[in-house]
Amino acid sequence: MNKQVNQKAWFLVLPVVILVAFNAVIPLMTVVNYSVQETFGDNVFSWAGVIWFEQVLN
Amino acid sequence: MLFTGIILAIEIPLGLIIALAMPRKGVWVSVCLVLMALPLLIPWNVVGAMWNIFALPEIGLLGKGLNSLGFDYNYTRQPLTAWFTTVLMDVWHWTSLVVLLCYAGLVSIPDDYYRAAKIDGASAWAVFRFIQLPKLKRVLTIAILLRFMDSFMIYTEVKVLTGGGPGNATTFLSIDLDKIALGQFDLGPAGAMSLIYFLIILLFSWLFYTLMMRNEAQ
Repeated sequence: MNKQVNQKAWFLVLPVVILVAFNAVIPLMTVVNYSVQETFGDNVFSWAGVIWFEQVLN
Repeated sequence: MLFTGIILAIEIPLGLIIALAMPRKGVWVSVCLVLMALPLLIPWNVVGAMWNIFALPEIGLLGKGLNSLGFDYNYTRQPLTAWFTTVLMDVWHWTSLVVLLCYAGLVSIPDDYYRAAKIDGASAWAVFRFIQLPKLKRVLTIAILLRFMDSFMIYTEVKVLTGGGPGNATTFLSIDLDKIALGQFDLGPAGAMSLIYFLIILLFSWLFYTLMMRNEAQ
């Protein structure tokens, strides 16, 4: 019997990918975003580069 | 790092010794396993609160007991005793995990190895050194890795027990991060520190795992 080969099974993995993205990647990226920006409240951010990294490492 | 080093130096050998001493057959197996699992079932903040009261110098069983024995013990004022209490609490809480992992590894060793060792007249030390320890290598790797990551990220228990004090004596990285992020609301430095913290754990875990696996391959 010839089995039909396709890649549809990958759709079964999709919920897990979405869940992992929501639980891990998005919060991590939020932290990355905060770490390179300066905020003065009211959700206003400005680019700060690596200044916080230098401050923490010093 | 110092805390992690101390924790690993105590918990891994202690867990291994307890696992070796546990019975392999009979009704006591279940009793021992339940007793060992108990500390792991308690929420982290409750562990901190328990030890906070337990170690209080005026009313706590540990604190009052040590003081009545002549020791000058007050974890709320002395950095050294605060460290001692934190280490003791972590050992109490997490050695069980090492015990359960090692026990699982020990019971999975086939009896044939022991029979062969008995025929050869091997001593208990030889059985441990040449049969049990090599067979436990992977389990121990996982145990060390888990305990390394967990102890490096310790937060809740210490936060409840000492709050990072006295002074900054038990202010671990996570508590420092908490102070910056939630105390001062400095989101930028907190974000940078979180990433550095994450990378340190990731790097050490990867290095450790790679070294252990390379040793095994050789």
